Amino acid sequence: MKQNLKYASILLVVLLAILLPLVMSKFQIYLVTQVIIYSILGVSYYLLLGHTGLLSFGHAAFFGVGAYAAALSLLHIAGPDTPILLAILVGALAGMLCGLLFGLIVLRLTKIYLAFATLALSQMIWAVAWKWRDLTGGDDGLTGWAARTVSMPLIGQFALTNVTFSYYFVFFFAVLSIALSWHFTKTPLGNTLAGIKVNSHRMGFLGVNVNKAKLMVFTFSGLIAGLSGALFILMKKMVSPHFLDMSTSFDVLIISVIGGYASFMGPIIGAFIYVYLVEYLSSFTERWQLLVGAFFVLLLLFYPKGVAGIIGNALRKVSFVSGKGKR
Amino acid sequence: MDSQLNMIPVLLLHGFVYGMLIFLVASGLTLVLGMMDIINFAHASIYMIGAFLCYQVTQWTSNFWLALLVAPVVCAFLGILLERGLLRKIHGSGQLNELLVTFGIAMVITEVVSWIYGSSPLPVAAPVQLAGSCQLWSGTKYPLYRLFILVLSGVVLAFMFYLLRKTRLGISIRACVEDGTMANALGTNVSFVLMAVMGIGAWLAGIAGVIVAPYLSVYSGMYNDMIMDCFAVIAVGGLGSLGGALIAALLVGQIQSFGVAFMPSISIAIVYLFMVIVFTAKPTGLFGKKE
Amino acid sequence: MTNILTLKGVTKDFDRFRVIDGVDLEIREGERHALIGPNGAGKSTLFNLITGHYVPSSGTIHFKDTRIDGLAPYKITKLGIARSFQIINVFKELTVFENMRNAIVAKQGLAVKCIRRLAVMGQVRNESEYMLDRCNLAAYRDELAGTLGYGQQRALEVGLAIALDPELVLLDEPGAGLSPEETRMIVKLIREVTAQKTLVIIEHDMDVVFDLADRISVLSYGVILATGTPKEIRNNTAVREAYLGTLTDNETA
Repeated sequence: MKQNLKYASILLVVLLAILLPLVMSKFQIYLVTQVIIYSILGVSYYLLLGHTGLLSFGHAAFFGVGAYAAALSLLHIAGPDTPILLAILVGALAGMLCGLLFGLIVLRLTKIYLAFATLALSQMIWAVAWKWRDLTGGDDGLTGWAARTVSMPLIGQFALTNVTFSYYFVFFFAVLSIALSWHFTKTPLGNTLAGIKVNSHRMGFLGVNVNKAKLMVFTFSGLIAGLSGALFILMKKMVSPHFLDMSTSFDVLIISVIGGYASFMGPIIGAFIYVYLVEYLSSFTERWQLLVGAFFVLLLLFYPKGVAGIIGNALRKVSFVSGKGKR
Repeated sequence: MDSQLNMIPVLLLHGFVYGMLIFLVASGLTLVLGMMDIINFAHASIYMIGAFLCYQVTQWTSNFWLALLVAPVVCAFLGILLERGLLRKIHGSGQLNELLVTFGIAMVITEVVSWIYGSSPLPVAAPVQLAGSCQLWSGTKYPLYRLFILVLSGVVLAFMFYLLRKTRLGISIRACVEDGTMANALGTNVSFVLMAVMGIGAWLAGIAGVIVAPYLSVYSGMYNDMIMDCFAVIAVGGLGSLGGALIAALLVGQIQSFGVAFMPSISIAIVYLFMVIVFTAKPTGLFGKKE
Repeated sequence: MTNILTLKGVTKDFDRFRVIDGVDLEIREGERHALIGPNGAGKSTLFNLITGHYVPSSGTIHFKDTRIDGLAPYKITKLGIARSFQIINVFKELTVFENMRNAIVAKQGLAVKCIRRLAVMGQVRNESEYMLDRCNLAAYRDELAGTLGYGQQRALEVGLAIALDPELVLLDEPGAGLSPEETRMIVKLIREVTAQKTLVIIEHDMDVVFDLADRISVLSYGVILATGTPKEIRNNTAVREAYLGTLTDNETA
């Protein structure tokens, strides 16, 4: 019964998502597209933090490297004829390699050291992007693909500036990557990683190569994050070192925490809340960062499990009342 | 060529000055970390508050020495308030939550500060007694104020050494950092020691904030700049290790100083590179506790 | 009779403190060997050395013909050595079933497989449930391991090691803190599941030791005082002085 309810609600959400552009303004569609990209990024972060317990302060690196790789391939591989899909692939692969590299370096580190090391590595990459003007445009970043089009088989050509098309395009990749990530958590590897989060010491003594498992999740997380970076530059039509900035890493953390960092749905919920909260608050005050910060602190003090936790509690109460709950 | 070589002793001095400043802030941070496994992001905010308090006091009274006296004490109170009011409340709910709450508070404090004071740097004049430079050796002048920073930090360092090695409180602190549960079992009032560490640490951060004001001026980005250097120092030095933090701070100070002078294009990345190198060689920092 | 585990001249120093001081030990294949000695003698340290948690300061450790000192713990486990811990080291936030499943997944070599979903792997579920049954833990299948009574947590602790189907089983005080009834049950479990295996057990409960062991080694201050059959050990003066104390008339062989 519970399984059917789950599938039904997911189907409902997907249906709603498909119908949404019919009732929303261009600007609103644009906003939702941003939310969806952040969701993908948030899920990739969940795989590291919520699922495996690896606290990384440098997640912006995977995102930004994917973004820059996609941008550079759009500009340099075949000029204006570069297939958009290729750029996305390049971005995802670049993110994956970045994840692999980070993983290799931080393998033996735990907790705070891991956090600091990932921060340091990510800051190094940011510094490179900032200084290497010839390649990355430095502080100005890169642009130049705004006028491009995507050729969809059988359907035709669509401009990147077509907001509705971009929405469906991004949504498609979101469904793909989020479903893939969900599947990842359900494989034996996903189970092993969950065990590593609880007791990595004993895992080793069961004969599990913990380092290899960690490396694999870093790599996969980098892949998904890099994908989200590639999609982001298609939407924003530009890339800048800000994508690699420390504050971007902390944005991902904030999104995860608001939604509930220990649950798979958490970052998705968090992305929605964060983007709309910022949008709403910044419309009537310049001090929106202060309010978001205060909101963040209050949430942590009173609802450490985030919004997903609040929903989860509510659902548990419902199933308990209706007699279906277990423990 | 001659001036290049002449630069080296000056750069060394710069490095020590900046290094000592970082150490003043990082020392409180690493002790709390060693004791309670909490990273207090808001600690560097107290440093910033100290700097802004210095600005405010000198605006009102034009007396730098008064600021040096008053501001750190206020900071100490803020530190204790933070510990009592907030950290205590969430101590049960997991390390990550504590870390995130302090991060959130730091964010809020930075925003409030830039709300009140704007985001442009505010200059604070060095006290008249310390203005100008003095002759170090032939041909080299050095700002008197920076020498003052060195001397003051040295005095504070000596005071800390005395506190930790020769007083009962100091021994309790070291015991709690080493093994809090054991110290508690042996009768140490860990809760009081924690409060003392927070208070003293915040006081030191406040002093650093005050003395940096004439040196680097006061601006809302101070937090960001200091927090990264702090992290580099406590990570490289090893969590909970005061000696490690000192050595790391001096090293980081020198790296910044020489880096900016000789390799300005990559100077921002050198400290990070240094961190990563240390970690790959020694996963728990130079003097960190082994797991 | 072959040796399944051989320690030669193994020492372990922690800074300037020598915890293990030149240990030679041979464990014969198929035997049940008890390791006893006063607290702080270094018994758990020896286990840590054998299983790769520590690296010997000098000396060698061989498992059958393979040298294992210096290998990572997971590699040693994969070669066929499994251990349980003196302080309960299960996955407390996971259910008992999930605990056992972690061991079974590892044993079946599936730990890092990422194509098929775990839920569809019937052989994993079946074997996990079978092991839970053997450990008398089937009733607690869906309880969080951390909420179990101490006796059940001990059974799970031992069960996780056994589930790996190792050739050599190292049990570190499996009876610690158990009531006499619980001790009886765990000894019965140990006896059953180690029937075709080699067992090395650290224990303080002398009844358990003399009941289970084929041979006993006595460790004191990082040195093996004696190795022999229970009868030989009981009558060994050095051992009596160091550990067992004087015997009553009832106990002399």
